[in-house]
Amino acid sequence: MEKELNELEKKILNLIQKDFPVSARPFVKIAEKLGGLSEECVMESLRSLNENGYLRRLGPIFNSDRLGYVSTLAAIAVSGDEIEKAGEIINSYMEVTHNYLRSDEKFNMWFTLTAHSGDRLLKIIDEIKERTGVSEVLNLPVVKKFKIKVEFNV
Amino acid sequence: MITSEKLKKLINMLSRGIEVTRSPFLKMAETLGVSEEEVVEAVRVMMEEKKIRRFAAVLKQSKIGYSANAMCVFNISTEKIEFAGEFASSLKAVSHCYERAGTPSWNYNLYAMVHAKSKPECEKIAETIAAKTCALSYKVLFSVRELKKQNAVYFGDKEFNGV
Repeated sequence: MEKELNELEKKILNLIQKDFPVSARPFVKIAEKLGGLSEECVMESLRSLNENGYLRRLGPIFNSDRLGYVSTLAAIAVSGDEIEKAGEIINSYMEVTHNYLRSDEKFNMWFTLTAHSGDRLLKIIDEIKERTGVSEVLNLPVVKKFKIKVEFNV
Repeated sequence: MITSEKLKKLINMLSRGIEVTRSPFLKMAETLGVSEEEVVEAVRVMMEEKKIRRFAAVLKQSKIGYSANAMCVFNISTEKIEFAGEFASSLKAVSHCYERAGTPSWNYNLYAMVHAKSKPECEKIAETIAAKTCALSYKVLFSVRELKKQNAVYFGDKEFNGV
């Protein structure tokens, strides 16, 4: 059975999903916020959560467009043994951050791209189209951001 | 204040996340030849400038009971898109919500990432959004297989010499 989260772990996870104290000694600050625990105890708990696979990542979540980067969501239609090959081609690009097979009967490979310029992004899309041999790559840039909030109360 | 060249290197290091150590910014400061305080200050400034959207932990959803996630796409009329975006975003189960440009072969313009405990629950949420926003059509795309999941790495070495 999955190791259940204890109360302390739940408190820590709920706290650090919202705002992680940015300071030279952040785990001291977290310990203080959690009613005077020790820094060591907070770090120990976080390490075990990490080892047990609860933490995907701890750090800054960047706004790529504020750093001058350009990103988009793209998709292609591939079937049968083309899937593995197309997956490898797409994954080979450092600018491809996520790549998923999704349950659409036509456009089933969906990937996200973040590149340092619009030209670079279009060049990658053209290369992927050519190298995978697909007839079309859907390029679906964001027109408006309504919400980005990845928080799950545990 | 650290130089813009050093800031790019700091962003590159930070984009890999931080480790659980007493002073997680110390190694970065030493690599850049600046003080820990200057690194912490640079991070704070980037948060104020919204270059950093948030500094937080991201959990693995599957581990905490949200094993079903679906990218739900909706075809919404232009006059309703604003309302639709606001409504979908108001739901706790929706983590990301965007308007995206549709294309002739894929005419969906509202995208909502839905997370729930089961697939039927994801479908129910998508159905609610579609009904409430009078969507002309919609699809629920479950992730079948993760082929790659990695954070964007900014200002990597390869980019410095424009490769």
